[in-house]
Amino acid sequence: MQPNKELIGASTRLLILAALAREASYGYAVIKSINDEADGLFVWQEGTVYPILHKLEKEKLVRAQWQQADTGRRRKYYYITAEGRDALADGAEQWNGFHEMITSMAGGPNG
Amino acid sequence: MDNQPLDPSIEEKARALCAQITVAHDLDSEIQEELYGHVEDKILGYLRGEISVSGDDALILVREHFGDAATIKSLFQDVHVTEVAVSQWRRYAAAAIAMLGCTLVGEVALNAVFVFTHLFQANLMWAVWIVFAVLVVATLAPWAIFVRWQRTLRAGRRPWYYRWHFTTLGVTILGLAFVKVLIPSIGISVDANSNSLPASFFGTDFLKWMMFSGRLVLIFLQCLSWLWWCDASPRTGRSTLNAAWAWCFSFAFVSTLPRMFLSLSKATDGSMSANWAGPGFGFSMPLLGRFGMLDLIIIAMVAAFVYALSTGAVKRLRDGLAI
Repeated sequence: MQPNKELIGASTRLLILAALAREASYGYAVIKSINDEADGLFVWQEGTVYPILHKLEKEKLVRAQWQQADTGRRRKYYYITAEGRDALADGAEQWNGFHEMITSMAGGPNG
Repeated sequence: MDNQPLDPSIEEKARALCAQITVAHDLDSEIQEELYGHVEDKILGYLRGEISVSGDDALILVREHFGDAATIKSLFQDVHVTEVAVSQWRRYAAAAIAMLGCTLVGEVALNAVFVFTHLFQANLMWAVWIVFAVLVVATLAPWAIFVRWQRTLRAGRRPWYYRWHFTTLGVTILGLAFVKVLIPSIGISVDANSNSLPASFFGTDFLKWMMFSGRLVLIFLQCLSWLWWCDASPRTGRSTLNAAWAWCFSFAFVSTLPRMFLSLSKATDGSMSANWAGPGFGFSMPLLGRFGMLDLIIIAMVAAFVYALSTGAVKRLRDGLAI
């Protein structure tokens, strides 16, 4: 089942922040790690992830730096900032809240 | 990991792909370099077999290798010229029937409203709004009909105009064009009672300007609906142009036929001769005014250009010619 676009759109920022919280990385590697984790749950239009990375950078939730990747090629690495970790924690808490509410209502007597 | 560079020709194409994304002069080189990194990793991932190919990926590859659908359609049409022409003529005939039918119903409705203006002497503002509504609906109703037919086609059913014989289609068109001659009570044209309509309905400059621009917009939209209907997917520049000509011709010619017929009279030697000295070929409807052949051609060509631009047909035509 392919989740709707709004759901993917709303979760993209948090997923990226979560991936970067694990380890600093560049666009392709971030997308690859999230795709591996998603295991077919959704498929991103990969090019659209880069504008989101740039937006996160503008909001100072991540910072970027050009450096050598394991492959020896120059890649733009993104590092999550302290503000980014706070935003990730807040966002994850909100998602959990919604998740619990929906699960509870859908699983209730009239669900 | 393998640090082999990309093949130069592939690298050039990948860089060209990224170069299409221009954001701001100062940022472009950095953004394009970052995106190129992504494309490069992706290509290498495929080449090394690190990325498995999904059904969607395979479809994209097949589509790329298959070629542009519009170009293939065009090549098929060059082979099956007769079948394409027959199919297109059937579409034109169906469109003409829809438009003539809607125009006729619109004229009858307008006459009915004008008859009411003679029955009531009050200041009938509602009649003005009904007149405008009838004009809009009668002019644009074919679009709704075309959408319905298109759904029938997409559902895999053969619509009536593919089943009807050409003679039946022709007789129906002529019947709709001549119905006012054949049934005189439909052909009676009633003028509105000027005493019962608001004074502003007649003669003000603003209203004249509104009517002029309004009728242009309506006819333009009607032409667009014809183009959309006659130009089956995928769109090509050629079929758009043909549809535009067909719209001009059917409107100018079909709606002129009854006038030409009525102008025939017996000459002194007993033969039939045309003494018609009318204003020429054209389409006319009460209050929408009269459109001559030149007006229709200009409207159709502008509509065709706008339509082709909006559907990418101009680009396809250019690409097609470059092959």
